[in-house]
Amino acid sequence: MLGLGARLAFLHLGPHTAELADIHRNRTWAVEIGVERGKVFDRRGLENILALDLPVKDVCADPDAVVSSGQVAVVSAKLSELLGLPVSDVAQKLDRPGRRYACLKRSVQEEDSQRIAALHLPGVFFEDQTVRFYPHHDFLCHVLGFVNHDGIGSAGVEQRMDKFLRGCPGFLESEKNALRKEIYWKRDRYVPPVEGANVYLTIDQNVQYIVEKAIDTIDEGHDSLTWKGAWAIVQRVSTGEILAMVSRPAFDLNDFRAAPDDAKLNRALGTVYEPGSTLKSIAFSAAFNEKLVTPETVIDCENGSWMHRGKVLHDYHPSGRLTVADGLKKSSNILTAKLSIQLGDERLYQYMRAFGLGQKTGIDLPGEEAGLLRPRSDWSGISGSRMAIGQGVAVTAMQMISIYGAIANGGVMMRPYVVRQVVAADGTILEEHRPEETGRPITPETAALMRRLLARVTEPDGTGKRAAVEGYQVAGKTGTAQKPVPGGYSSTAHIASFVGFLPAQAPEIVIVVVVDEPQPIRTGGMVAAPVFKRIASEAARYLDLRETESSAVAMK
Amino acid sequence: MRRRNRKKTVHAFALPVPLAGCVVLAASLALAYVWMVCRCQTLGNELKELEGHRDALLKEYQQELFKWTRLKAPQNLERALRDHGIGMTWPSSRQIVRLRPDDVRGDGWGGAEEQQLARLDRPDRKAD
Repeated sequence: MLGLGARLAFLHLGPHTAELADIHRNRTWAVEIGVERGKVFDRRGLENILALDLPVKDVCADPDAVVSSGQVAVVSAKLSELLGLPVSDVAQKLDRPGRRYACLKRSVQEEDSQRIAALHLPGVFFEDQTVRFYPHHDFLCHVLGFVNHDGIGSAGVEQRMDKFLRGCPGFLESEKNALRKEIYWKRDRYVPPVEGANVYLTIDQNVQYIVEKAIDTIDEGHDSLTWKGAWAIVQRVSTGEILAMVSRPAFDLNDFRAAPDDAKLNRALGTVYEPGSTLKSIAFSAAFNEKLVTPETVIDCENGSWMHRGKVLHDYHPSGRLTVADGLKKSSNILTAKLSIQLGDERLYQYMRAFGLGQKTGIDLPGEEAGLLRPRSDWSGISGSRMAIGQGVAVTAMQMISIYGAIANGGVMMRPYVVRQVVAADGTILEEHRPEETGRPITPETAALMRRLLARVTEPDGTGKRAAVEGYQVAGKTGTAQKPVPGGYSSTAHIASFVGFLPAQAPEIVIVVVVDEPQPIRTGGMVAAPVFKRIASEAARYLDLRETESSAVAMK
Repeated sequence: MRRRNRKKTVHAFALPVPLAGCVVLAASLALAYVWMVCRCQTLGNELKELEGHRDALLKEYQQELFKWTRLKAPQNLERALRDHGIGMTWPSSRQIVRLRPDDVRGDGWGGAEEQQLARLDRPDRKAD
């Protein structure tokens, strides 16, 4: 008895440092508390979620249990049907006696997992997971971007706003009981996680849908029209907010690993192209701004063929003498070249810089290209006249929309942006983007004059007549540019584009549409203008833009 | 003088009052301690349960949010309209009747203006 008592006393009162440390180590539980990545909303906020963390389940099985139950064939058949997997693959994973774990399919949505659970299949169980999910798959894919395996934003808004969206994980140090459950009152340390902030975009889901639908139906109204790529942007004139941005081909954000790199490129920001006639507006604006000409000034267009410094320049629609106003309406290369000569290379270069050529617009999305504007010192004798008509200079669609946005906005260029607000989980506004003026390349008077002249382009005898929208006066410009190839320009590969705004007198939105290598029809007026019309007519109704008064339309 | 009845006198150990007080206090404290430990454990378990419940509700909320978002997506709405054979086009300005707040006041349509979904907030601009 004495011995037992002594042993008991020793066990209870002794130091037992090593044993206690073992017990403590076994019971201690320290984990990082996962944090939900912030959501991405469109401009309507809570109404329209574009990206969120979604609880899903991995469908797993205990092959040994399935084999023991003798129902391998039945379980395989049912699971393959519900998971959309080949029966043979499922059966192969399940028919493994002695194995205790097999993952059959990852990231299965709640509804599907519930359907499987309701079958009470032997040996089948689920593991909880959370994945970044994009409810509309390829919708707005290039703007939203995606999150990689490590939870880091790797493209689009997900990348640019990663530091806000990611949040900060928490920490928990506690003890577990014999059932491996936390003993709450033994909780030593608890650092709560900081949820990721929500990002509100300037994009309007409905306008985006209108644009995506229009881009996807470019071939509507044409027989066997093919194209290599297409992109479009809708921007609010007065603020620079991007209401929609589309690039094709697109890809499914929930399966971005399967998408080719070419599809992941946001062409609206990352593809530079020679703009062709859409760039003529710079030369016209500059000439008016410098008061070198008036809309009524008459210039000889040499019947469509003009030799300048040993190189011949042609007009698509040959004309004799044209007023400057008609030269813009008919998109005369010769008239534009003569304007640029009158302007002089130095001034033309300054205006091109002032309109943002060769510089990034500064939009809050990754992957923007600066375009190509050669330094003035590299210009040859004909560079100015060729650049004025959109050759030998490369732009992005974002730059083109900024140029026309400035004309529409009284000569004021606005910085484009897609993120309107970043709001923390507790409601604190962490970042708010305000409209930002980036320059004033032309005077308000010149801008107003250009708006009136560009509105004539969509008249029945203008090159952009297919962009006209019922009830609204549309101002814009068509562009058809041959693609540069080694040694010159391709005769078959073109970039067709249309950029314009409406209502012409008090513009609210500016839209650019670019189609890469349309075949067999290649002109901006035939291919891009109808797409512009589809976008503009629906967007104008949706945004409740004030219709142009009938008297103003009649004046056309 | 009347004699005391010795048989009625109780012979027992009387705990001094201060000591008794201490014992009672100690016992009370011990009981209170045990009660509080039990209470803490119960509350801890309840908190754990509530934490689990909250997590489950959050997951459910996310799921419902996701379903709702997909349901009212323009793609889905258009598909639903098509499935039901409903063809819709945008109305022209002549087909639109605009209601001002004054027109609907008193009809229980207090939020009519807020329900205008498609509108850019903009100051009135003068035409050129």
